[in-house]
Amino acid sequence: METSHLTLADAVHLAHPLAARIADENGCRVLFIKGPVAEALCLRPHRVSQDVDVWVEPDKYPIFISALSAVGWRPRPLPDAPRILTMHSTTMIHERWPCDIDVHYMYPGLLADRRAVFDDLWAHRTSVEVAGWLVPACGRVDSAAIIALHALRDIQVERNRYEFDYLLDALRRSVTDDERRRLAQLARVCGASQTLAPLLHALNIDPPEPPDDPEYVERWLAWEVRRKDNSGTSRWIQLVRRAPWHQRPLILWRAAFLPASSFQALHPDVGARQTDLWRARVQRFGRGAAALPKATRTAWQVYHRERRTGRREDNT
Amino acid sequence: MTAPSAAVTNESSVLWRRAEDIAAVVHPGHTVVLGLRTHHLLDEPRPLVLAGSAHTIWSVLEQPMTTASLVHSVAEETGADADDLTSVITDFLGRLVELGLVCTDVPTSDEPLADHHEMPTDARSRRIARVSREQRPDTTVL
Repeated sequence: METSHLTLADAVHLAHPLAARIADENGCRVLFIKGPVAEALCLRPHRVSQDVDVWVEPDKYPIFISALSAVGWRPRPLPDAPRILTMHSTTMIHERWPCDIDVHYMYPGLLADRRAVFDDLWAHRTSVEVAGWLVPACGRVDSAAIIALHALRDIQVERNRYEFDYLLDALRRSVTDDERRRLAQLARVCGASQTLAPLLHALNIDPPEPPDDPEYVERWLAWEVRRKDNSGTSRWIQLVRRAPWHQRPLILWRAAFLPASSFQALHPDVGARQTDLWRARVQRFGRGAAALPKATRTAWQVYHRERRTGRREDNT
Repeated sequence: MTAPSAAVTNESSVLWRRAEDIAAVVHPGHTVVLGLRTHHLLDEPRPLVLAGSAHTIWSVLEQPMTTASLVHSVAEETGADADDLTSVITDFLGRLVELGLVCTDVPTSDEPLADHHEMPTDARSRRIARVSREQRPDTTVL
């Protein structure tokens, strides 16, 4: 009897129909994005994905998470650290599966109401065969928009630049007039006229006017901060900026002297000895100080943008 | 479709086929399958690796067929003796039935059978003692 193990690539493929079946059994609409789906749509170069990305209709999100939990998947614990963008997904893990399932209820960069976004993408869905199953997936240009947003969020990362260029090349060679119109429509309906602007410009599509909506502007500014600087320092500065004045000293204290449990969750490679911990804390101070000028500059730029758009309110 | 049973598996007219709601990743030499019927979902679905002769049997089962046809096809594929294979294959199919990955159909009387390779009963009765452990299909539940 030969021994075998479930490879990451096989696990990712099989977890697509698994998630689709569980969603179907529980009456949840889901759309698969990125990974093997993007490859099947010829929008991403081949590489082994680390996880399954499945987007569940927002109102059914708790049901779907419960259904996955019922068959042994559980949420990956999150480190206690501030975020610039709102949480958009839950990562589910299973002790016998080497891959994660990322359950999205929204997607960063699609800034309109999350229900309206899902319904629009659902209306333009397609089916893609993964592990012998047809799973529901975002349509080709909708998938392209999602891949573009994923890359544009951290475009300074080499792999993201490569995948964005690959995507552009694929679209330039094959995009139809109908698909161009769909991209413009998606940008308008899903609130992505500004976040997707680099893709739209590259394809000679005029971005639609962004909505004149305070919530949209707030999300757009958060996207801009996240895109420019996602360092820990920047995240703490944004948390301080958003907090009322009386809470700021406590937040600053927590930023400087993160509790040991949170620190170790953020830096699992650090040894358990006190000396290791203190050495790592000193190094963190060093990195934080080095990142401070850029983070401050980004915060200052956002402050001025908020003033211009009338979003700035005194947090008293 | 009938519920699988030991009696049914000995019927020459029974057609074996892959169950519906199976996801599979096929590689040269092995297949990783995952049952996704409702009863699978109630019990933490786990992939099963079919390697070696198990992979061959699974591949041959792409079309529904009788035990004798299956044995004949696998014997052709592997060069093994059909007499030796029959019990291994029926045992293996029984296990796949238990796992919900394979099911059986009994054709109606006016439905033509695809089987042209039924073995004599006495040959079938001899085979069990001759099958060694090494010939059993390789399966691993992950």
